[in-house]
This record gives sequence, C-alpha cells and structure tokens, in this order.
Amino acid sequence: MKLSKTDRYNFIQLVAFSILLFFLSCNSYLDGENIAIYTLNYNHGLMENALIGTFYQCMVSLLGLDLKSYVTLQIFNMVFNVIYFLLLMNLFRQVVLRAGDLEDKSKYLVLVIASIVLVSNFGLHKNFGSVDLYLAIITLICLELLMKDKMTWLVLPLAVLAQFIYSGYIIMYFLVLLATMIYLSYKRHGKYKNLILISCATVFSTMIVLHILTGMTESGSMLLDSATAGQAMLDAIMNSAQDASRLNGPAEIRPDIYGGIVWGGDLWITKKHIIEVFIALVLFAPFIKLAMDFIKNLKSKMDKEEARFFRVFSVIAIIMMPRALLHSGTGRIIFLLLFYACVILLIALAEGQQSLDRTIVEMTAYFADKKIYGIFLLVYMIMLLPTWGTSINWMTGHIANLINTLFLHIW
Amino acid sequence: MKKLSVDDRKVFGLIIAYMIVCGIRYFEHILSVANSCLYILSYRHGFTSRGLVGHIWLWLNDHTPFNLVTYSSEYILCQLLTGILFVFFLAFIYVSLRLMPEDNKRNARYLLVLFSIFSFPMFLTMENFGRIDIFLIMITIACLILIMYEKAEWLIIPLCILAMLIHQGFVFTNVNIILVLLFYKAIMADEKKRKVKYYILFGLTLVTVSVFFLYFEIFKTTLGMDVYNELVALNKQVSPDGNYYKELLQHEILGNDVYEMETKYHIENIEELPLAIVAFMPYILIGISFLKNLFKKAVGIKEKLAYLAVIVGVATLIPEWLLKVDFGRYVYSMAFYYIAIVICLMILEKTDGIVARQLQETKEMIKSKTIMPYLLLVYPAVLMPLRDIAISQTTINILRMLRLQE
Repeated sequence: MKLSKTDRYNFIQLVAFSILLFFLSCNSYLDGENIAIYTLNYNHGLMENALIGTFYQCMVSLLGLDLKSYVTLQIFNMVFNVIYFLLLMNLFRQVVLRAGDLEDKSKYLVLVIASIVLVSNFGLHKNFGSVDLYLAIITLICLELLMKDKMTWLVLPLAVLAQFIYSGYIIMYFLVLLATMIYLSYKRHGKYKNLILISCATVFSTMIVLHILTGMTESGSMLLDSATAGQAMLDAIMNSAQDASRLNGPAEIRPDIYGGIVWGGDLWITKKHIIEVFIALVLFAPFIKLAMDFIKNLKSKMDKEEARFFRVFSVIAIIMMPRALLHSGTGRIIFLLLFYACVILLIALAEGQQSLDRTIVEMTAYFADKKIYGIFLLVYMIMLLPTWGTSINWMTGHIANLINTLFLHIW
Repeated sequence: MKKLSVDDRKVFGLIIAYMIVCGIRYFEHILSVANSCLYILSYRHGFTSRGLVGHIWLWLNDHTPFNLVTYSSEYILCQLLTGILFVFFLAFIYVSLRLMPEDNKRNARYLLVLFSIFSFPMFLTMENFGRIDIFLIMITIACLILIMYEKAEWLIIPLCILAMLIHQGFVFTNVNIILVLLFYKAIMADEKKRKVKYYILFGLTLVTVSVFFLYFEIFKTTLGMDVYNELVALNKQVSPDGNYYKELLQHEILGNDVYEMETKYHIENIEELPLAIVAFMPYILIGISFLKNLFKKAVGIKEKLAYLAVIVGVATLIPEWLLKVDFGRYVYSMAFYYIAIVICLMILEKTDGIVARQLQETKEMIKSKTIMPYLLLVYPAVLMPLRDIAISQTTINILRMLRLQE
C-alpha cells in the first residue's frame, strides 16, 4: 500500500517536524550513567543486562574501531536512534494508510501529538544510550509484525532477546507488547491467544534463568572481575570524551545493571521522586484533564467488549507505575506510560476502532474551536518533554530542588 | 477607553501563562562573563559607547550602602530587568489587542502568539540573560506604543538617544522599525501638518542615531591600557568564573578591530547558517510571499514607497550579518521587526487596510496548502530559544551530530 499524493505531502511535513523535534533535545552527548551498560559483556559468565554491551563490543571489534572511544559510542547510539525514528515513522505511516475512515485533520493531529511525545525521548543526553532505546526498538518491530500479521512467530525470540538486554523488560516494554497482542487478538478473533501465552511463559522463564545464572556469578569472583573490567573500560571511554565537563560526573556501574531491582536505593532519591510526582501532577494538569475527558468520552462510546479491554489496559498501566518510585527513574517510567498510551492509541486507530475514531473527531472539533489554547497546549507539551531518566524533566527537577533548598532540606 | 474583549482576555491570560512556563523552562540561571562586563563600562574615563548603564550602576554603587560590583548583585539586577522586559512584552501585546480593529483581531492574535513564542525564551538563556539588548527592546516597544497611540511621539527622539547611549548597535538592530513606521505615517498622511510632523520626527530620529553611531564608531578616542587593565580587573570581579570579556574590552577601550579574534565564531556562523535557513524555510517562503503580494496590492507611488520601506527596513541588519557574529540575535531582530511591524500597520491602517487583507489571504493560502496550519505556530517552539552566536540549539545539535569527532 502506498500513500496518496496528498498524504505524502502531509507526511513529509510531519517527518520534517519530527526531525527537528528530535534535534531539539539531541546534542549527541552520552551521560556517564548510560555508558556503563556498554562495558558489560559475557566474558565472565552469562548474566543479566550484558547483551547490549557484548553486541557493541563485538560489532566494534569486527569493524576494527576503538572500543574505548566515546565517539564510537555516540555513533553507535545515533545509528540506533535513527532506527527508532524510522520505526516510529513507519508506525505513523501505517496509521495514515490504514485509518482511512478517520478524517485527515484528526489523524494528523494525533500523529503530531504522538510525534511530540515519542520522537525526542532517546535523543536527550539523559536518555541517549539508554537501554530502553533497544527495548523500544524491539517493541516497535514486534508491533509492525503483528499489525501486518506476518512472521508473528518472530515476536517470541525478539521478546526473549529484549529480556536478555534488560532484566526489567518483563514489567516494562513487554507489557506494551502484551497489551497490543491482547488487543489485536480480540480484533482478529482470538488469533494470537497461543502467542500471548507462550511469549509470557518464555519471557518469564528467561528472566528466572538469567537471574539464577547472575546469582551464581555473584557467588564467585566473576562479578567482581566483570565490574572491575567494566569500570576500567568506562573510565577509558570517559577520558576519551572531548568535552568531559558535559558528562554526568564520575560514573560507576550501578548494582541494578547486574540484575535485581534495587528497592528504594538511596532514600532521598525516592523522596525526591515523590515530590517530583506531585509537581508533575500540577505541571501536566492540562494534559491530565484532557486525557480524563478523552477517556470519559471514549468510554461512553464503547461497547461491553471494548470496555472490558479498556479495563485490562488500565490494569497493565497500573502494573508499570510502582517502578516509577524506585531507583530506576520516574521520568523513564512516565515515558514508558506515554509510549504505551500512544502505541495502543495508534494501533487502535490503524485497526479502525470506531469508538476511538468518533472520540478523536470530537476532540479535534473541540480544538478547532479553541485554536490558540490548542496551539499553546502543543507548545507546552514540547516544553515539558522529553522526560529524563531519574528526574521527570528539567522543570520538575528544578522546582523540586528549589522546594528542597527553601523548605525541606532533604538533599 | 475600550477594555479587552473576553476572547482577548483569554489570549492574554494564555500568553501570561506561557511567559511563566518559559521562565521555569528556559532560564539557565547564569549571567555570562560577556553580559556581566556590560555593567562595568562607564563614562568615568571618557564618553565611551555602551557606558550609560554601567555608569548608572557604578554611580549607585558609590552612592548607596550596597556593594553592587559583585556577580550576585548584577545577577539580581538582571533578574529584575528581565522581569521588566517581560512587562514591556505584555504591554505591547495588551496595547495591540486593545487598539486592533475588530476585523483584524483573529489574525492579530496568531501573530501575537508567534511574537510570544520568539520573545519570551530569548532573554533567559545564558548568552542573553542580562544582555544590554533588553534596554533596546524596551525602548523600541515604548516607541511603538507611542506610535500606535499617536501620543507624545516627540519622546521617540530622546528615547532613541538613550538607546544609542546604551548600545550603538541600536542603529542596526532596532531603530529600523521606528523609522519605517514614522516614514509610513509621513508618506501616508493626508493632512500637510501631519505629514510635516512625521517627516520632521523621521528626519530628526535618523540624524540623531546616525550622529551618535558615527561618533562612537569613528570619532571616539581610545582610553589606553591603564583603563583597559582596570576594567579587566573589574570584569573579573563581577564575572561568574573570574574571566573577562576580552573582545568587547579590546574593541571599546583600546579601539582594536576584533574581526580576526572572532574568526572561530564566523566559521561557526557559516556552518550553522545553511541549517538555520532550511529550518526556517517555511517562514522565509511565507514571508516572501506575504511581502511580495503586499507590495503588489499597494496602489500609487505613496503606498508603493511606504510598503517598500516596510519590506526593506530590515536591511539595516545587513552590516551586522556581514561583520558581526551574533546571528541568533539578528534572527530575533528580524522576527521582531516583521511581526511587530505587521501588527502596528494593522492598527495604523484602521479597517480594511491592505496589510490586514494580505495577512488574511496568506492565512487562507497556508490553510489550502496544509491540513496542519497550526503547526506553523507550534513549529517555532522547536527552534527556541534563539541564542547569540548560535542561532538555535536545534541547529547546533544537528551540527554537532554532523561533526562527531574526537
């Protein structure tokens, strides 16, 4: 299926806008925290979170490049950011092609919003090089296969691969994939029931096996050797960075990179996250209100079956949330929730979900009436996003620090 | 005097909210070495350019119990000045909404949104926070308000003198819009008395700013190494990191040409400019179409001359583009010029003016070419804030990616 001439013209505008959105945040700097994952490998045993590091080091060695070069890492990450961008644009293209019944104005408004939410996240230096990029890429590839209903069996090995990449995958991006499979299974009369069950079982088993193996590694000196080698490589990369002052201070390999969830971690970080969440509720209030109105409107149009799936999707979203208060980073999980919402929305649009189409048309008409408010909302969204890794974004982090300095004195 | 309508009040409220969010989002909390230097230049050693603000600041330091020659004092001053600048921006928006004919309001609101998107983030960045341009823009807005209200317009001349004493670059970056509007009023006036009034105002303003510029650039004397060393020490005292602004002090105190010292910045400009042109291309094309059709609509020699002046008024920036390096500031100056002048003309023309008609036609043209016309107002936010040597962080980031190197 090809885009019509009009769609191609509109789509080019969307892509151009998205490219600039990406570069608004992307200064190609890698934070020290995000470099750490590339220093891990399987040399000391099969363990969690080491696949990306192993892949990177193998690729770089095969190509004869300098393993300890900061620039090599930058280029490696830029390549994968481009892949992420192309997969996103492909998803948008699928929506344009398949959501034929929805009027163009509404379709492109949704895509502009999705672009603002999704495009720039992994370009920001706090997230550039983050392991979540690879999880998102794998998720988007799986979505593409499911939407086209081609080679859907590949979803299994891809999901396992993602679990090898990061131990937290099963309660993060896998849930996005799971929700999509549940939705598409419903739309295609139960086609993916077996795939859902097998993938859940396989990913879960992979998590358990890797966790046990990593535990066995921990009991010996192999973890210490791995950490020592990793730290040495990390230090070499940091030293090679042209503008070291831009990097996030001395970096260490965090315990949770080696698997296992660090509950609480440093308590002041958890307290800061809680304060930032309250600040974010205020800053994001216009969008929360909009989302609530949208959901209320959508629910009024849903039939019983659709309403049941909506409850399932809500439960999945709730499962993702607690991780926001852990050491892993609130901003990271907020992006995950936004990614989840956008992806489900876009897929439902592509599948021609009637209730959703009607709701979006009504929302578009609402904004057509309040043009300047709508423009400022989109501008405000650009200013609020992308989210960071640990802090939610620049604004919440800054306001939280101000509150702490003036009143709380916690950190 | 008529109040703002409900819709206008909503728009104004949204702009205030946007202003507050800009303050949180874009403020970088640093007064740079370059901008801290501007408050220590004074007339103590002679009638030097850019000396007025520093002279007043140092006078206050000598005659008040406060120690103002510190980084933190200057920082607080600049915060106050930025706040006052924002009040001026809001005043311009408020007056524009108040005086705008009802038929033109809808399109004027979009222009004011665009004005806000360009203006509020600009002076919060490290490069522009506390910059002397703040005063120039405040003075320009004051002059525009006088022109729009047609009251006490004689004040334009002393205000322009004040601006020239603050920064002689005013002659290139900001006075153009004032001169063009005065010229427009002069040439379009029907009554002879009115015509003479505005020609005199135009002439006196032009002559005044030119005289001051020529004095500061050609006739002023250098102040010598002793003064230079004294100011270097003073700059180090007020700067955030103990450095000093070498290029400015060499130029202003020793009279040295700094073109070669700024070579690396010129190279940065040349590298970034093509990217910025591509990024701003939608506005360049729409702007050219608007101005071309505006000129075509002008009937008779008077109108043609008036609108030709509107179109080419921004040419006063050409010397800056060619010789200096602050491309971000010049992009802002151009955006400010065209947006503000269209708003002012829509007010001065009263109803059914050709500027308003052309703006409406341009809007219809845009809506016919895209189903996302709102993107043209959202899109500048992706390029903000404008910087000084760098035009936009977005284009700089593209450049960084293209030049990934050890």
